[in-house]
Amino acid sequence: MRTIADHVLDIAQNSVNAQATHVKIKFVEDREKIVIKIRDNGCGMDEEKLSKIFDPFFTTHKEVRRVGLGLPFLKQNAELTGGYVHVSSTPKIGTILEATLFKTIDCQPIGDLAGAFATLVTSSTDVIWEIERCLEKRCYEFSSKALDGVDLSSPKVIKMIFEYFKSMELSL
Amino acid sequence: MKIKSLEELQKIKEKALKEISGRETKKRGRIVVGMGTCGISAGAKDTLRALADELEKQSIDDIAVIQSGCMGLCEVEPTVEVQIGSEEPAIYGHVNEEQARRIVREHVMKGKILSDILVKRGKV
Repeated sequence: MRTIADHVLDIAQNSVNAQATHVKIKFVEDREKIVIKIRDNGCGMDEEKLSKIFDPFFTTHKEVRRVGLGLPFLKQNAELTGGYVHVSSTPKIGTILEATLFKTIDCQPIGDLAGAFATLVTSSTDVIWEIERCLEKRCYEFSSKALDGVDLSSPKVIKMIFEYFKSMELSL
Repeated sequence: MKIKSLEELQKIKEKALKEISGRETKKRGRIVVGMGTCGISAGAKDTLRALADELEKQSIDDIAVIQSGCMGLCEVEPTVEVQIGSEEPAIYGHVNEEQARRIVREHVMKGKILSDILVKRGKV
């Protein structure tokens, strides 16, 4: 993963793979740190699975091709900055991931956060995405409920959603 | 077009719904972008954006653009599968933004297979 935006995209897809229908992403940035919180209502994990999620190549999706490197990469990159990743989960209730990365010289660039949000929102019609993004005290919020009934496989719609998030990022 | 608020997005949604209800929504083909960890690391997000942008630029709206997980071809990510009508799918590898635009202009619009970036034919 080259950027923090890539991590957000990759980690939030874990929620989709866990059959979540509702995913909340909070991405808060200030001068010193970046805090990412992803909460889903997916299938959750028991303590045994939870204890292995940072093991490289561990995946609960053996029937489909999954690499199992997303969370270990995020943990490694967060810890390089002096930060951390914490995951709590309850079976049949959902999972909460919270990551803090400090803006040290070892911190990856944030990258194309707008593109990551747009990619997630257009990835599935079965998931309601709620996104809260703050830079210092300036924030914007998005809910994919606003797109209910729209064909998310339409190139025109995909392009518009990319442009929407780009505009919102520029407005911060 | 710059969209600056949720209200504007809502208006676009209403317009899109009207457009969709007024015409046949059946697609003539689909483009699938591999969006697994390997694809994301290799830049699949930019590939997705370039595909949507080029299709829209060429006024093509009867091709569905879909995201999938890893296609099992991690060494040639970003990967893109193109299937037009009932033809055998073509899997392309190392699809950066430039190649994504080529796929639209040559494969989708002219039916030409891009042999230089073709990984395989058929389902993965």
